[in-house]
Amino acid sequence: MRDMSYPLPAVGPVPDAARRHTVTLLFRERHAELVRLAVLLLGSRAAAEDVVQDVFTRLCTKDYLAAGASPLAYVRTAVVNGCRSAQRRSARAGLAGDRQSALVPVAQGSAEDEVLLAEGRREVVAALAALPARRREVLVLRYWLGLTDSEIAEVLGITRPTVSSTAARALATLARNLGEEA
Amino acid sequence: MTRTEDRLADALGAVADGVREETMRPLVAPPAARPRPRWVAPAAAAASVAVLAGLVTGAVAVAGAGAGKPPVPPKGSVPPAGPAAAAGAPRYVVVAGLDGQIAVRSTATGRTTAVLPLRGPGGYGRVRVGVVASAGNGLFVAAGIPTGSTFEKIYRFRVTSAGQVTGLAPVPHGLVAAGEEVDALAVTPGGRTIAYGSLIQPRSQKTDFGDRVNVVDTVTGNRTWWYSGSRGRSSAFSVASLSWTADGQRLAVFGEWCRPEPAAGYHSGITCPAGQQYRAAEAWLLRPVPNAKDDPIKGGRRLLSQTPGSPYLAQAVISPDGRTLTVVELTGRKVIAQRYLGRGIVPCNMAVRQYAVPDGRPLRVLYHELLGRRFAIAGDPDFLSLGRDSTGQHWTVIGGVSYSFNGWIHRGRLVPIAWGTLAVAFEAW
Repeated sequence: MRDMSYPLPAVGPVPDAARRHTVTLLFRERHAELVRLAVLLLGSRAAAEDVVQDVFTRLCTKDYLAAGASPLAYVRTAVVNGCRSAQRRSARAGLAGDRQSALVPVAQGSAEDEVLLAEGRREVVAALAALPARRREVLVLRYWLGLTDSEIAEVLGITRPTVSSTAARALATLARNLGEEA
Repeated sequence: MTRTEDRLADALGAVADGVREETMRPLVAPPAARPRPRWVAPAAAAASVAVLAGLVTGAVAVAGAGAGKPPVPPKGSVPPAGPAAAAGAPRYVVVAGLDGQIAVRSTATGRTTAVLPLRGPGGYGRVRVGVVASAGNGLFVAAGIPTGSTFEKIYRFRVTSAGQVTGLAPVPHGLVAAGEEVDALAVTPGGRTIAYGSLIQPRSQKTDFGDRVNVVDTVTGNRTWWYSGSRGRSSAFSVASLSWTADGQRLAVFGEWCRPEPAAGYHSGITCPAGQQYRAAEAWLLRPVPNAKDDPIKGGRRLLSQTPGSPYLAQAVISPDGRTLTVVELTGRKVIAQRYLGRGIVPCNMAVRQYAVPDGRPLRVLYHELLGRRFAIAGDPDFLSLGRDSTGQHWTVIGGVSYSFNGWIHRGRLVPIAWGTLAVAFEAW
């Protein structure tokens, strides 16, 4: 489905002015959301900001926005993929550390986060961090961004049934790890 | 929703809410991987979102512009919306207008995103170039008078990534003395120490007057000042710019001294109405020492002064590492500049040149431009201004009020930044 908030031509080449305008709108309206999405996926504020920085840098320097595409879905996809790459780099560098705590937020402002996150929330966040990346992504996109399964499928590049089944498995695992029933 | 889903949504929301927008790191400029459209802002290797300055009112085609220069937008135009503003250039600029208003404007659209409830001192048309300054990372300080008050104070605030102003509050110990007006401002990275030039109004014709450089530690309240710029009644001293080194230990003061001309009289501020022959300009490097009694600012030494080869220094700003001084200077053929207080004669070859601080050796020319007769007549070369970001990688040149040009320097070119309104734009991030 096309996101009409960030209009691009349905067909044909994307005029430079339209591309610039779209990137500007995306930045102005979605930058904070994208950083938060990356924080939820990575658990690191600094790494999250790096990922979003990279995405906008690419948007500025190359013509990644294609006619007929949804710019918002594209940047969300780019951020999710960037988070995966960042996690792989961290793992290779031996920086992954304890995955259980990967999502326990966040490097900066941690004092406030300590207050904000009650122990119950921390438990949920830790359980989420223990999930495989794809499952975690599905849950974050569904339960934080509130995307539909179709939208999640577009962002992750998978089918809608796969989203449904992945979400179901993820919830079941999460509930089990939390000592609940899904 | 199941209980697990409820808990999950709640936890995710809590984590996300903890990432406050105003604390997010500004985007940095993308590296220049390949030639890009002319309006795309430059990027440096160690890029950081640039601190910009602008003295703008719609650009003018500058006569004698060099070959290969980017075209200057027509008068009254707005800058192109796009990623130049979104990532390569700063996203927002804090603008001090000629009407005294201090506002935040988007570099992408030119629209005002926030207005501070302050008014600048001096009233309409009295240009106070230095009433806002950036401490980096979206933190700013500004001098202004709050609504319903007559006292000028220095405030600090933060510009969020959405262009909104948060945390506006008076700086501790930032009250400006009665009878003084801030006309230059600089703040150390992080915002702890503030330096400002204050215009002291003369109480009588026999009183010496001129700017005083004040340095305030906003944590301890320690204050010191430098009044050595005053050279008695023979010259009026004004601070054209202040700039700190990154360590906050050294302060570069660029000032000018105007000798009186009988026909025009004094005009204290950043201009010498009588023109070049009545004007001297120097850059000094100071090392403020809090609460020192005898010599309140140690280590003061003159870095640069006008010479026959460099007869008109317009601006000077020190680099964050304190090793280079970047100067706007005018040389060459002289033209007559028509000003609102009279005519002045100025050279018309403008160069942005860097000098080594230790020995004053010229290092390189970052940008040069033949201002030409049109600029000199319509604009005012004294309003040439220079800004840099906290890394010292990005430089802006700005000039003129009626027919301004402005932009940042990228590989010897000036990438224009323009708005279509009458405003004195200054710091940005």
